[in-house]
Amino acid sequence: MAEERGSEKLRSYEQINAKIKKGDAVVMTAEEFVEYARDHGASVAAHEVDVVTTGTFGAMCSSGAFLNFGHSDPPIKMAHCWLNDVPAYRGLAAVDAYIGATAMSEKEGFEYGGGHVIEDLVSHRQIELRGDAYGTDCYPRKSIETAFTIDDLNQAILVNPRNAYQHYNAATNGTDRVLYTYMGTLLPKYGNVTYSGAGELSPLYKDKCFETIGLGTRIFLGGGIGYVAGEGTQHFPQQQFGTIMVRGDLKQMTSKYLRGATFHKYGTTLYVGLGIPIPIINERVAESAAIPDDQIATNILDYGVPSPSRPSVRTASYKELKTGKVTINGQEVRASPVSSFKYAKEIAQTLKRWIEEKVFLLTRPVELIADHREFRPLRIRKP
Amino acid sequence: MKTGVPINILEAQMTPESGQMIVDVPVDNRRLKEVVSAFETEGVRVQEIVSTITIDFDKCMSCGACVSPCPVSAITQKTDWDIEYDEKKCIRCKVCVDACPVGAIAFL
Repeated sequence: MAEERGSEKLRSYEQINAKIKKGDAVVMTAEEFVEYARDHGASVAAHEVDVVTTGTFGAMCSSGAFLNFGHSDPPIKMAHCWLNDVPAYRGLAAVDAYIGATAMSEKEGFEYGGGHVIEDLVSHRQIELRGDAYGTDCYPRKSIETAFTIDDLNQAILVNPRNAYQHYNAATNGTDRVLYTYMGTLLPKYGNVTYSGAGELSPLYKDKCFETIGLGTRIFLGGGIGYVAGEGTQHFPQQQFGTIMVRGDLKQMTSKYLRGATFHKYGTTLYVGLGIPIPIINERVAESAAIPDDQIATNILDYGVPSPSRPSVRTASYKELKTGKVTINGQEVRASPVSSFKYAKEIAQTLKRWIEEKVFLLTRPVELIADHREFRPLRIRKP
Repeated sequence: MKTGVPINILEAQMTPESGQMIVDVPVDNRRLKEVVSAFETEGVRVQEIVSTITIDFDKCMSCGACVSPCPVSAITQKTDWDIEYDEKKCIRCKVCVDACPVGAIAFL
């Protein structure tokens, strides 16, 4: 009978945390573990290593933050509000708002958006708040203009509905014009390839069957501590397109790992730094954590076809993509990432250091992320 | 055609009244002077572009979004994924300026 998903046959969370508190835990980054498993075998590595740390830093458009401004005197129940001229969602009580990464400034357009607001907030810069209201007997104020910093807020909670894709497609362009996309600039006639995802450092790829990641998993998020809040939107684990929803207190995060960004002619987004510690609770988790770049493949899709079902030009491993060149139709084509491997490595190293310094303990998830989900398109129907 | 030097036209804007273009002349200084003189003889005003791109490494995330769009590989990534720029290869097409998601690249 197959072992139950999440079984702690090799070591339990309590045993791992006890070792962490004593300073005895054996911790490796995913890159180090891949090499160790290659040299000694995954089974040996599974018995010797307690925790494998992972990291990723890429554009995560489905990100944003809930903010609570507190009440003015007289109070206002805002109908609409803007932060540095970027509209924030206000359909929540009186002074709660959600600023999403891809909302764009009504004055600066593509140059400044919700992701930039979040970066400015975390950087303790002043943000202009503008709001209007229809006014009520209990909330008589009809307009407000003020400035605040993150320290003035009651809460600033990063809540990202879809983060840390297990892996992602690579992109190219078979048309005869330049394309500007969320995968960056794509030159015509397969002039270049871009790709995203941390490969063998990818948090969700290193626990491929989701045996250790779930609701309540403590993680590195935006330079501080965060938690997995369940599966992310569009979670599709059967084809390794798993995602997670995450949350964390923005007030203890840093702008190095939360960067507002703009993809030319596409829109604004937020680069998010995220890392998850993988406890080696059984041998199956160890095998997953040991998967190297040459065994993580992705499709190079032609973004010249404007459809959610873009054709695959060919498949390529992350190892091949990381060489900086792939072959398409017999021609050598330049390939570059749009997510930062440098920062992904730093995140995995930082998480390893936090564990070794005994300031980060692992958490057993309340409920594991689903290992099977349907992935549906949006059909156009007459209501 | 006068000098026999092949030039690359990088950008051109033409109207019935006037036109301007940015050209790359891949020759040494001596032949470059010949090409410039040939243009000026025909009444074309010639100005050497000395501008170059600059990278603000405080802003740069080393993501690599600028690397593969560069048509001449003037921007590359080292083994530690840090960005490197070779001014000698750069043709000032400015694709990298727009490609950078955090505005770390400027054309001065």
